[in-house]
Amino acid sequence: MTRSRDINAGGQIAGPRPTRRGALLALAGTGTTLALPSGWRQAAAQPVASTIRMTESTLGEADPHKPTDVPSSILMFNLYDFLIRPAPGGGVSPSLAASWEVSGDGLTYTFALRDDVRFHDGKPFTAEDVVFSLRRMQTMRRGFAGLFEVIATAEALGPHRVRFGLARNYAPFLASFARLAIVNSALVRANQAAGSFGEFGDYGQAFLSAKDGGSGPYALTRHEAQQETVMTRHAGHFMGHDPRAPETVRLRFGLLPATVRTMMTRRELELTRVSLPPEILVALARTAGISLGQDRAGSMFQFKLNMRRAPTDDIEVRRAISLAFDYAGQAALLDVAGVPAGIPSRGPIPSGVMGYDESAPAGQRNLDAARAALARSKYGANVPPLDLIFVREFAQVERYALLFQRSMADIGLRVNVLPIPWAQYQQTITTAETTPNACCIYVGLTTPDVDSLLWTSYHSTSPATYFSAQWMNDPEIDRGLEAGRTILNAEQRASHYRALGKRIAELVPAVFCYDQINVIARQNYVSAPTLTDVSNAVPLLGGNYQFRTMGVGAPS
Amino acid sequence: MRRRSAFRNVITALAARAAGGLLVVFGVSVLIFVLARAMPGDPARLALGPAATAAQVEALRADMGLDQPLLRQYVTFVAGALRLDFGTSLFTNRPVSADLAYGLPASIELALSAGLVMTVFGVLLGVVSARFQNRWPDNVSRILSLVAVAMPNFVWALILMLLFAYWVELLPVSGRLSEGLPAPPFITGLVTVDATLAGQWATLGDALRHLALPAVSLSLPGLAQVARLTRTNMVDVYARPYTEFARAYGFTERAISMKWALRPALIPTFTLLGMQIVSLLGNAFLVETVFAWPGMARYGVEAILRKDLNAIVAVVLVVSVAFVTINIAIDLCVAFIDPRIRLHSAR
Repeated sequence: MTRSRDINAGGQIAGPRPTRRGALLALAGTGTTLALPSGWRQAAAQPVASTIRMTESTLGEADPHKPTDVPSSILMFNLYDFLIRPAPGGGVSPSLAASWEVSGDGLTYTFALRDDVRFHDGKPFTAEDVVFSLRRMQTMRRGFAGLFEVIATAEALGPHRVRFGLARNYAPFLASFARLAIVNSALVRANQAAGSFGEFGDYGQAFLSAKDGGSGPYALTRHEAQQETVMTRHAGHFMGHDPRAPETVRLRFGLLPATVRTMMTRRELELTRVSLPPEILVALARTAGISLGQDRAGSMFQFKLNMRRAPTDDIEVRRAISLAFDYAGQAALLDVAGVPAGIPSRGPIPSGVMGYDESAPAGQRNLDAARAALARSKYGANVPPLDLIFVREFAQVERYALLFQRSMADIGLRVNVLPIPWAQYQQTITTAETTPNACCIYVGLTTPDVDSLLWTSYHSTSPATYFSAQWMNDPEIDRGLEAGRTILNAEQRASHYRALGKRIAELVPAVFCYDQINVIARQNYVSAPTLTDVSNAVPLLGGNYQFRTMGVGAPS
Repeated sequence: MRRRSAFRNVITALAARAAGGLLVVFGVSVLIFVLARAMPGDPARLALGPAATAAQVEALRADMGLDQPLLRQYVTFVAGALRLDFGTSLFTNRPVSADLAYGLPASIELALSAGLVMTVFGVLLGVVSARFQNRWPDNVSRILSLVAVAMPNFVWALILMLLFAYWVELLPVSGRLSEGLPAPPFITGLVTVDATLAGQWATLGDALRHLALPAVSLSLPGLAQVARLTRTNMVDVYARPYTEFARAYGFTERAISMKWALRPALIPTFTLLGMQIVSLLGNAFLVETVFAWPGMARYGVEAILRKDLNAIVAVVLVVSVAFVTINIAIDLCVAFIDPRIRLHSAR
């Protein structure tokens, strides 16, 4: 065999001739690799028996007394039990507490506890665990600890009886217990590390951050922060499981929408909780074997209007903004393959929650009325431009912000739209002076009681958070909210909050756009009553993901 | 005698580089410590959420030492960092060192795998391109390189996922191992290495399949740069008189390529490769996210979004230490490859 070799002036060389046959062979090799027999293909591209794998945004620790977001709520509702549980359609239902009595003055609550409950390690549940859990939360001052500041005394009256004394009347008290996860006190004490809480060391924080101390319908098998949490069915749970309830639940964190779509198509995921872009949901809806569902969690989308900053300090300007917003345009954006991602709001209280007024008018665009309101404002024809911020990480919200900008242009209002990161968003709204005129945000109930949304949003003493970005300071509203906490009769409370909601809406602290419905995708072989039947929905963050009520069947 | 002197000089040069490296790490630590605190957002409020009262927020700030003067905070941090104690993560409530011990091996495994792909295929493409200069293999290689470098690695990640996981369900799309497969015993934290050491061949195969898409997508832009650099340097070397001299002596083209052309051409390539691989430790965030790879880059970005101060500072420090260490290692290797550098040190 001879090999050609020559040298040209520029040092260019000619080596062995590259042949087209070689190139074709390489191509054929690639083709063969791609066309491997199915046995070589991804083994996991099949549903795993009796397992639900669900995407979540991200989760840090598994301690039930610290975080406040949706992923941690879902974990909490499945790993732990509570004295009461949020009920479908709002309100609460008994859980660890079989029954309760309230004293005439509303200051003492006595709970009779179930005697057939065991923690995951087999230890029986007692009143001591309730008192310990409460003390732990109050002492650590994390998570929803603020809900329990009203409790002055807590004592175990016996193994299955516990009494709480309140410092003042507090009607949402019962609902607060939906956020007090009961931990296994003996297990936590046995695993406490050195810390700053005296005899309680670190109060078991290091232990519970990745381990299980509950009695809930599922037990924690593995927890890798920000990666994956695995739970297995707790067979002896007193509330029982659906016969087809999954044996294993895997929560996968931080997957990109494109990855979610691929994994759903390959049946490597059963359920999506995390909010997905409409185009991904539409594509999933078109995929055989996948359906869309609705997660109604009692949250709303609003443009909060800063009531202490010009020009939104003028109620006529706020009214003009509310009248000029293109609600129909937004409704069109909310349609996801025929499934609405929201329903029009009727004031500051979301549907399905105490005080919701079905007869109240939903927002409607009226440009003439908006212009008239603007003319009545103290700014007249010289309304300064508005600043609007939205959280850059929420891609969908950008569309709403731009719609707001376009809507306001129709009445001559200029809007500067500023996308900012979440951390900066939180910093920006810490004072009335730095809070822009409009902030678009989702807000929702943190307990099953409407007070958890309205107080944090509209009471003048509530801390500066995205809930309170309208900076309302209205003595009448303050009095109404305070009164709402003292009314013990449920019907009277509902009537009170209906009236209060109406009064708040009249002050136009926000453009109440829509009650959010998180559109989720699920494999057809998964049944999830809380996500497919509105009457089963639990209006609370993370309330619709109680896996013991779900079922996994044969793939369709 | 001359050899001993050269050795001493190399050691002196190394010590000087190490001292310089320490200064760099110190500077980075100060910078990131201050920057992390200057970033907008109150970490205590972010960690506690909107339901927390002002008193709760203040209590947590005190717990974290954020009410202390900045200098005292820094001294406390450095004292801990010297013991590899970076404090506790606000988000995971675990020691940051434990979080890093989980994420860092995954990132190292990914970066090394991408580096391997980059080295093997980048150098190969460069050699082929140079050897067939201005002929069709060179043209194809140049076009491929251009396409590879023109798109960021996360776009490649999406394209490869679409091709090999969505349309052709050939490769896994998330994580390091398939569900239900036993993980190898923890030795190095690198699943492929640990599985090999434990003789778990099925696990090794599965781990390699999981590595394929993220490693290739992460390597492509760097691979193209390596190919282009290798080609340019080799073409340059081919034009040198000593190469022509070798040809005149009748050495085969393969021998000339491998012995006289490739070795000197590899020196800049090697430097580039080292920097590329170490930069992947921190820059792999998007690829790690696309493939749900449990690495440190993803952890770092999550820490920034949540203003998890201890985690932010620790991740940046680890990356800066890696940069400094790899830089020194590259200097050593280059000195080994190129005798002129050793001789220069000796003089």
